[in-house]
Order: sequence, then C-alpha cells, then structure tokens
Amino acid sequence: MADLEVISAALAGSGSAARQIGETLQPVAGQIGATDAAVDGHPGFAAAQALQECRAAWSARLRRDTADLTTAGDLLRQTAGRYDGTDELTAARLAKVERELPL
Amino acid sequence: MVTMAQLRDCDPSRWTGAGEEFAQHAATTLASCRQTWDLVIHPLDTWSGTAGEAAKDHLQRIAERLEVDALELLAISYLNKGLGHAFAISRNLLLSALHAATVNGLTVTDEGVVALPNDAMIRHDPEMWQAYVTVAFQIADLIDAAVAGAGQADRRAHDLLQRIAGRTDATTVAQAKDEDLRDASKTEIDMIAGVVPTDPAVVATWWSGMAPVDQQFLLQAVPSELENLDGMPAGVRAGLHGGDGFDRTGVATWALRHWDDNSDDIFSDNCTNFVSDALEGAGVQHLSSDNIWIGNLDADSGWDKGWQTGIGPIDEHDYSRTASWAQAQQSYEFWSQHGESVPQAQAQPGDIIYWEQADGGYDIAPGTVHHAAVVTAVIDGDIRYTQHTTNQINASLDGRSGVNEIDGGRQTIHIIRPRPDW
Repeated sequence: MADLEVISAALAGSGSAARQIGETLQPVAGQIGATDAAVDGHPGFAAAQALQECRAAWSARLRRDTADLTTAGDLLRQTAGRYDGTDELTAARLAKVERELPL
Repeated sequence: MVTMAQLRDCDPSRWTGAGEEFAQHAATTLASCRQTWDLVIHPLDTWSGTAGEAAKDHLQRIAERLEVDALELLAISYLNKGLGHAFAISRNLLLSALHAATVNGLTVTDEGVVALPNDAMIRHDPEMWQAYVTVAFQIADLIDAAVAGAGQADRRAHDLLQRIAGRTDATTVAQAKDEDLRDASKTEIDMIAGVVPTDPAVVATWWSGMAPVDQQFLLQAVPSELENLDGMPAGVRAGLHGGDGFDRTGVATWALRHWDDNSDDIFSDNCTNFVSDALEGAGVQHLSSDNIWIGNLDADSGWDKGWQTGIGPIDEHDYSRTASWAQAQQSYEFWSQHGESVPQAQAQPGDIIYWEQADGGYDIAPGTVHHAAVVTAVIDGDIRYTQHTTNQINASLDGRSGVNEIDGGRQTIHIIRPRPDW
C-alpha cells in the first residue's frame, strides 16, 4: 500500500486554476481575423495555402490542449470533493461506532 | 511562383498582421503554460500516492504541450513577419520600376514583360529605338529582381509552414525550440536576404531607389549580404565595416558562416570560444598578457589562443586559451574593459551578447555571466544571435527568452560593443 498525503484544498485550488487558465486560453484558437485576411488576400501564393494548413492544424491542437487542461481541472476538483467526502463519511462512521460502544 | 501582377497587388501589411496575431497567441499560450506550472502543478507537490503522481504527470504533459504550442505559434509568426518584410521591399522595388516604365512611355504586362511604345517614329529612328530598348532592359531587370525576391520568400515560407503544419502530433519542447523555432528564425532572415539582388547594375539602382526606412531595416537585418556587395555605395559599405578597429559586420558574417561548424569546439561548452573565434575571424589581433602567459586557462589578463594539437581531448586540457577567450564571465569582464556597454535597444550586428543569471536556475549562482553569443541581426528591435552549444543561427532573443526562463530562471542581458584598443 502506497503512502498517501493529500491536501484537498490544494487540489481544489489547482483544479479551479486549471479551469480558469483553460477558459482564458480557449478563445485564442479562434481569433484568426488577421490570418484570414492574409490568406484570403493572396490567392495563388504558395505561402498562403501553407499558412491556412498551419492555422487549421495548430488551432485544432491548441483547442485540444485547452480542453485537456479544463477537463483535468474538473477532475482535480471532483477528486478534492471525493477526498473530503470520504474523510467526512469515515469520521461520521467512526463517531457512530464510538457512540454505540458499551460504556 | 509569384507573378508580377500578384506582387503588385499583394498587401504586405496583411502578412505582418498575421505575424503579429500569431505572436500574440504565442505570448498568451506561453503565459498560460507558466500559470499551469505555478498555479496548478506546483501546489500539488505535496500530493503523494498513486493518484497524485499520475495526476501530476498528466498535468506536466499538458503544460509541455502548451509550451510546444507557444513555440510553434511563434515560429509561424516569424515566417509571416518575414514575408511581410520580403514582400514589402520587393513590392516597393516593383512599384518603382513600374513608375519608371510609365514615365518613359513603356508598358508592362501582368507577366512582367516590358513593351516599347507602338510608335512609328520610334521604330524608324534607330537612336531613339536603342534608347528605349536600353531603358526597357533596365526596368525589366528591376522587375525580375523584385519578382524573384518575392518568389523565393514565398517558396521558403511555404516549405517551412507546411512542415510545421505536419508536426502537431510529434513535437517535443526540444524539437519545437531547437528545430522549428530555430529554422523559422533562420528562414525569416533568409527570406529577407533573398530580396537583395546580386547584379551590380541592379544593386545600385535598387539601393538608391529604396526608402530610407527600408535601407535602415536591411542594414540591421542582413548586413552580411550588403557589406561586400558590388554596386553598393562605398559609404554604406564603410559604415557596415565600422571604425572600431575591426570589421564588425565581419564578426557577424564569420559567426553566420560557422554557426554549424564544430571543428573548433574543444570544450564541453563552447559558447564563448565561438564568440572569440568570430572576433578573431574578423581580424581582431590576440592580446598577450602583460604577465608572462603560461597558457593557463585561468589566466585573467590578455585575450589569447595558443598552439593547438587539433586533438580535442588534448587541446581541451592543455590550457591553451585565456579565460577571457573561452569563459563567459571572464570574456564579459575583458570586453567590458576593451569596449562599451550599450543598451539592448541599440544593439547592432557584431556586438557580443551575454546572459547573466538574475535568479535561481540552471544551478548557476545569481550574478554569474554564464553564456555568450554574437549579435548577427536586429529585426524590428528583436536581437537575433548566433551561438554554439547549442548551435543556433539568428535565434530570436525575444522569442527564446520567455521559454528559456521557464527552465533556467530570469536573465539579465548585457550587450558589449568590442573596441580592441591594443
């Protein structure tokens, strides 16, 4: 059995931070107005076609990484809640056993 | 292939705008990467156990992927900005040529063919005909140079953008930084250098017809291409050479030519040795120590390089170079005494750039100068440097410093302009 040390408040804080960072970053992948202007304004340029491919590929990857971060943040918060829940439940059960012990 | 009509009708500012957009996205993504380390991963340091280790591993992989994203976005921004510059300079040349054609009564087709006026008097006057033909050829040469300059930039950018587009699933931080970002930074300057014509007759007309702002840009961005170019005004070439007792553009040129040549890299860390070799390559004479120099690498006076066997492991341990030649801290101290410190905003090709550790990182004590490189270009205020260990050519100071500080801590930058005064 592994040693286990956990500060659930730290998990919850990290989880909230991860979600917030992800939400801030999420719109970035979609802000491509100037790039569109370069691509659309230069039909026939080899670089314009390659830039379009680049934009699509890296926007998709950034969206994926941002989603992963947000999901990880949610998992951390859920995990913190479960640790707290387990802790409280165990404490309640032990208290109940304590109460039911014969004097 | 870019045609004359495409270059005439293109809008270089759109490429610059795309470059700025990608640069902004790169900065935002890098900031998110840092926040992920500071606010998400580090607070979990105390979380032990199987789940804790797995969670931290997963989050670190996400942070690394964000760092890769930032680096690749930055690489794309360099290519777009390079296109903006290359197209702007080429287009300005083209517009000058088209204007000259109009003034001289010539017409130019969308394919760039220069046609003489359909005028019976000109056709029947051999002298007048010859004069028109001469001007037409001159204008055609300028148009060809402009279109060729734009065409090479388009091809170079296309090739690297396409490579980067295909790297989304297979790129590590090291690959993104030391391959894609490096190649984008190099390609940006190669694209700009590629607009410089080589025909001396074209060079003279090209340079004299260029806007001063474009001239100044090229002098900072690609001085090595201009210093010895036939057709350039003598005064411009002398200015690039510099009056500092050595050829300052020559230092940059030497560094650019040897950026990937490790034949003199006898130490485990050769950054300062490379800088000294570049100065030597540009004609700076060795300075023997005032004391009797016994070839001790720890000697703190003089700037010298002794006899070499050519066998790396032996040369590395024979103390054949002064500390000022091969070690960053001593080199910085030496050239500070034999040169001047200049603000970062005034850096120019041929200067030496030093990195001083400002706070913790790389296991280097704060206040230690631990790295050196040669300034080989300045683009839009961004210093580009060339170095060994690891080999980099025209690497971007602005672009790399943010990433390097994630692992290496904050750095203080020093720019020293050598003035060999012996």
